[in-house]
Amino acid sequence: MKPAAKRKGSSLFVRRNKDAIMACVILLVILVLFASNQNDFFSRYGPQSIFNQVITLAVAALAQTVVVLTGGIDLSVGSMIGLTNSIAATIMDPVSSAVGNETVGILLTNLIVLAIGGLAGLINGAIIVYGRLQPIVVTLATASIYGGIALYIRPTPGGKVPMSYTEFLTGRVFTYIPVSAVVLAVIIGLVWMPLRRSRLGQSIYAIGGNEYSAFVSGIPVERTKLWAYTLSGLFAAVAALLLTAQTASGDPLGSSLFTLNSIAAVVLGGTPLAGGKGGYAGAVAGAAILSLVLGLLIFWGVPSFYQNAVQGVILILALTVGLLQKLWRRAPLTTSS
Amino acid sequence: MKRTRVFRLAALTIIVVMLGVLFTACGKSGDKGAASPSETSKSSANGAASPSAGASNAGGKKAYKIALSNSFTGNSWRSEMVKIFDAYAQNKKDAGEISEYFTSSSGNDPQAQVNEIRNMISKGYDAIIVDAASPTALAPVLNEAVDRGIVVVAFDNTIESDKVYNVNTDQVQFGRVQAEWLAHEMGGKGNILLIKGVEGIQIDKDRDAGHREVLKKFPDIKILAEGFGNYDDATTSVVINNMLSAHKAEGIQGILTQGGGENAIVEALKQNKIDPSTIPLTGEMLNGLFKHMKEDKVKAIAVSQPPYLSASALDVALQVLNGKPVNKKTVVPLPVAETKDADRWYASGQPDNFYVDWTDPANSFNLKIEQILAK
Repeated sequence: MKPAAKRKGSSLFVRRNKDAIMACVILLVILVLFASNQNDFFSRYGPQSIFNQVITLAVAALAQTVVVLTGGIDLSVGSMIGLTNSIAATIMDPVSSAVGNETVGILLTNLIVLAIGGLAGLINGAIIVYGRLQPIVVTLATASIYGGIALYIRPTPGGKVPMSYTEFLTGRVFTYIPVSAVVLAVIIGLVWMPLRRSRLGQSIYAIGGNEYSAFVSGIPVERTKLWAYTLSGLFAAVAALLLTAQTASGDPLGSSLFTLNSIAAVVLGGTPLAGGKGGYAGAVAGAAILSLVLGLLIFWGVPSFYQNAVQGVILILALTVGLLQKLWRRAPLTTSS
Repeated sequence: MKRTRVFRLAALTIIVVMLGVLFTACGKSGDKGAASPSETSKSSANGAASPSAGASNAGGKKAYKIALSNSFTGNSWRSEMVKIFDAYAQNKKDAGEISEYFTSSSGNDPQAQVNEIRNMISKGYDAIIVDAASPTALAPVLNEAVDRGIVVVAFDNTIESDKVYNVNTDQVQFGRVQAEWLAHEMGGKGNILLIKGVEGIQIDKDRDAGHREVLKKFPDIKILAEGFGNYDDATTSVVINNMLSAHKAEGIQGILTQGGGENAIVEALKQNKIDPSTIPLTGEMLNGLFKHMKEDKVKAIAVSQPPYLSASALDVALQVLNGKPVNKKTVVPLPVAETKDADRWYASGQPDNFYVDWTDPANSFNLKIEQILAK
């Protein structure tokens, strides 16, 4: 399939991302099917449509990834998105008119919203680390709290978002390149990859691998966990800002599905819930699969009663194949690791 | 060691690719399996397995491809609305005006509905008809659709955009019709109980504004008590029982309710030893209310947010596509029925929450009830 030399050269990359291969292959299949079913796939609208569908869940999956890698889980991702989305849609217009310049107002709003997201994540992390509580319980509780605050800020969906904000983030640059694709490239290239290589990133992986070993090796476990949850909140806020652009409004409860979908994307992307290995590449593929498969069902005209069921079946199939692959790999090499 | 691992990896990749192909094949055949049985009856999954099918009729008048994007499906109104659309679109397809139609429900998740509409745009529908999950969230993607030459018609939950055609009823008028009838029945004086809908939502505010606008003209009508019934029997039951025990002694001449809890009201009156036929009642065009009109001789007026708005929206879309001038806002007249019309509307054998106005009073959509009831 691939030339031998290239295979050897990329073996480190392949080995690092082998858990993501399954997701990548499924995604490839889906993209091929998109190419043959989406009538405007080869026009400038096709990639724009695809990236706009994928981008929010892909960023939400990054929020989930950093936490899952530590061996934790964040059930408040959807609520944090709902909260920051509600805040963004509520304050963007007043801030813009107070500053007197729309662009400055939008940037300022984005900074405020990112800070709030980071703070929400930091609160999660602080309760988990200093309260010595299970992440699943803590984030379930804070999810209700953040959802409640979102409802208080914005009892009904709505708000006002400048058209320019929507048109910029869901549009294209240089006629052909979707802005969503640029955002995703920035997230992968300028956020995830430096993070993965940084001391913090290594610590996150180490804690997920074996928390005790990490501790005795001198890795600051508490500080790393605090950072992981703070980053999760921050990335949730990024997802919310993108969602705000896509919907031009805030919805306190409309983003609750992001929690489960982000977990599904992470697991589908080959990162085990126990943490310690995997990464973001797979999660992006997982998020793309989950977002795009419904599009295929719409192209094929499958009635909506079956759509959720088909989505679930695909998830289970993908996870089963991943599991089989793991068992099969382990069988001949019981003494490794 | 390393070599075997590479080999294993290669083997794995091949297997995975084969599985992928298998999966695709399954997906495709599964899709056909899902589509073909429903195609023979009547369904939205027509000819969609082959992407090029049904682009337009060969020669003659152009036939259009229409999609309905619904959000929430969890209540009888929405499911009836979708069935009416399917039935009416099938009629139009048989008449050759539509080449293809498709219905999809994304659930109450705005992002999912945005994605659904993006794919409908890609699929190349000539018109997209929308019942939105959120009045604001869909505006950007629908504007995008309009910019790409697609006719967009929103109904029920309308969209705040001057590019989109909106189809809806006048909910203030809904309130006016109910209150005027009640005031007339009561001879312009007496005590009433007022049961509103869901606190804070727009429909409740509109209908309530209509009620109060009319009641202002009748100073002799006194509201003894008011409460929120949430448009359902469970909540309404609690509210009406509290009201009756508090105010029964003062004498009640009428009950003004936006609808949805008529069953609970009639039951509560019976429990309190009040003959329901003596107290005029307002409500919605639900089967339960018409059952009480027939069985208990309840004197009532029923108004409705008709589920056939989906069919009206399809009409608007076709008019726009055929180049006829259409207003951006279409106000559909409210269907109204009284006790004397009960025989005409009552659908025996249907549940109490069935909306009996499955077609407009003149049946201009040429629907048959069997089409709506068929699964």
